[in-house]
Amino acid sequence: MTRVRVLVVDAEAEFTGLVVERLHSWGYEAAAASDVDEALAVQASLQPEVAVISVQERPARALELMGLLQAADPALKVILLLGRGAAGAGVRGMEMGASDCLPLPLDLGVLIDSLRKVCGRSQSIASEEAEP
Amino acid sequence: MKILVTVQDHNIAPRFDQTTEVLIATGEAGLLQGQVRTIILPHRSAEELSDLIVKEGIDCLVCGGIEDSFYRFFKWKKIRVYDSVIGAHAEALQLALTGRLRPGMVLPSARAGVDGGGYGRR
Repeated sequence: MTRVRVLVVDAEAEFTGLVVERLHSWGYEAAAASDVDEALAVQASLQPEVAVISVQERPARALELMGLLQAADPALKVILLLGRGAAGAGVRGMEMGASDCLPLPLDLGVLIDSLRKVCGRSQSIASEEAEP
Repeated sequence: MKILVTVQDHNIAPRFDQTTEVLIATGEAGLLQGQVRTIILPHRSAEELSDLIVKEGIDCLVCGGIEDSFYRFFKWKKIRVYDSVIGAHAEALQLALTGRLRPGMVLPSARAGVDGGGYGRR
């Protein structure tokens, strides 16, 4: 079985770097992007099954990005990470087809559970023994 | 007891206000209850981290250097603070669970050559 591919988008490279690193340790194939152009480029190369998009200071941009990614791949699943005051954007995101919304700061275990649920798989490949 | 440890790589983060990752564990008498949770912060922010600590109902904070104002705030909130701890976060967590951790401890796992820069209360 192939590993689940995940695109993580946030303006803070340190944040996305940490999330990507932790997802790798759980057996996911993950890559980070910090803006729209980079996200579209990574989508073209990685062909992710799931995009994890942070919604913070500029929620409209995040939702616009979500729309662009889904236009390029209608099968793409989206998980939104909601910062403080982004609940409204979360509601709009769910209306646009987001599969899940998670709060920030990000609980890694909650993200893993959400990825499993969204992908319809009980386990990420290689994650079964990668980390508890 | 609910414990939060600030993390950088495999060690305790040297500065509270520069922390981007924390572990949260619950346990008593050396035994963990449930899973250790990993929380990734979207920003380096002492205020946001403090919010998380209060929101999570943390009883015990294990960290490196911390500003005196935050230290006093946590004391006021009856949160036990083990600051200026240097070493691997897993070791610190184990010591905290068994009640053997002390502020300022340099744990055996601390890498040689760590000069303590950035540690301590400011």
